[in-house]
Amino acid sequence: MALRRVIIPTVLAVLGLAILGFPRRGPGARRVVLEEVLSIGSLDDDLLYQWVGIGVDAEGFIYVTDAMDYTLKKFDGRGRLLKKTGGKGQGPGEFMAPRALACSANRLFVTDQNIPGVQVFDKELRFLKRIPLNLLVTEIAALSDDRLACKTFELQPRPQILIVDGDGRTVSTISYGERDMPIMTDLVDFVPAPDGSFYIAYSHLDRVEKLSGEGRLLWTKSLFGVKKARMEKVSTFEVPADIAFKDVALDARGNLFVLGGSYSKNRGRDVYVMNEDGELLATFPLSESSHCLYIDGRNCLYVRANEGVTLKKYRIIYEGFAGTSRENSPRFERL
Amino acid sequence: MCVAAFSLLLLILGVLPSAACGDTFCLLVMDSESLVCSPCLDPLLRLCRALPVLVQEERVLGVLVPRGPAQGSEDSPHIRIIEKKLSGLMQANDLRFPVLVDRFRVFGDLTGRGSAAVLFDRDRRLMKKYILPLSSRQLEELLDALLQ
Repeated sequence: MALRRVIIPTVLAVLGLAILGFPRRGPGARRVVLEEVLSIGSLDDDLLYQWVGIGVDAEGFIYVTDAMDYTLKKFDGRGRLLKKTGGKGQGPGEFMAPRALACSANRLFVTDQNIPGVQVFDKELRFLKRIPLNLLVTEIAALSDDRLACKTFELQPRPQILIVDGDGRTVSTISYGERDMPIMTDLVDFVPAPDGSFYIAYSHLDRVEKLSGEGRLLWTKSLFGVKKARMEKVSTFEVPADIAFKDVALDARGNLFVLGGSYSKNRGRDVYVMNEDGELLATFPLSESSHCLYIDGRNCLYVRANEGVTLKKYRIIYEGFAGTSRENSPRFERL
Repeated sequence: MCVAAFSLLLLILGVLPSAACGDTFCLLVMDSESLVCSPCLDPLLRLCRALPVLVQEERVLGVLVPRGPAQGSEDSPHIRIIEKKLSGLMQANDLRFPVLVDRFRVFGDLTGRGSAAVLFDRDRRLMKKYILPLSSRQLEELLDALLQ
């Protein structure tokens, strides 16, 4: 009888586990650790005033836009300022409010919050041309020296990412979201993957998505369970009140890094690491709030510190990820 | 707060010769948040561009009102960050007027969440306060007063 009291519950427990499945390795089992390798700009120098956009080339040169002194700057891998260009204005190579920066093999592409189109520079920061788009560009990614993915500020029935050539001609479009989305809820940060697909994180909606190169929705994820954007009235417009996600980046292993905004426990600091299927692998906090995150081809993470006066570079260390112990070796090469 | 206001007044008189000499002068009161917002900054920069260099140097004093953490603290990193950003902005826009940081937000209520130009007469009495952006008529009026 006593034996039966032990055997039956044990058998039931084993059966239960077999049916429900053994506990899988959750996000807590994997860890991403950052090791600082470089810091550019401090309160006591004049290297950076408020950096905004960033790109890093295959040689490790770091390019940033600085909104406060209207410049594009080039640093070497040790953080020494090599060159800067720009100045306030609307002429060739000048900026009114420089913003996003994208880097291809031989070109730098820079957007301006107040000037439509994209300016193109070579790696020595020489102005080459302006890509003539009639719209303000809010986000860009370089697909090659002659091809860009752009999110423009426009009112379309359905939001889209434009793929344009070096002359500003639209080569293709990738639609996302739904028709007639409330104002500004279609704003996204995006990053192209080497296989041609796109990851997008909505700025004001709790949504991270993967789209095929043709714009087919592959998956969509909510990280916070927020179903609808909270809106507030500004003047006569209703605009989103919260920032759900601030930026996305793809590491060299194919993992997506998403920087959380207001819904995160640590606003502007929590980074969510997802695999290519949208499974949440790990979460980690940055030491300071950042407006963006960027990962270079060597798998180093760049974020903001001191409200944009400082740029921090970290080596990414993966702990407990499949097939790895403490390592950061890239699985594929990209810029 | 009274001590802070009095100290600031002494500082203004020390920094701005025109104020000490009894000329009209203008305080440009700037909210620190507007420094990092391009559309908010434009009205201020438009006004600055309209001011002749000599007027900027002798008749204008910028007062930066910090908003955010640790206001009032002499050595807070936030204040130092704001000061650094401001120095970059001043250089890039060739702004020549001196700027004081109003750590105690004595002028905080004057601007709300934007920038203001506050005109003082020869007797250091407040003549008029303009909330930016200025209309062309307001700009003309302000320039006339400062060029007297």
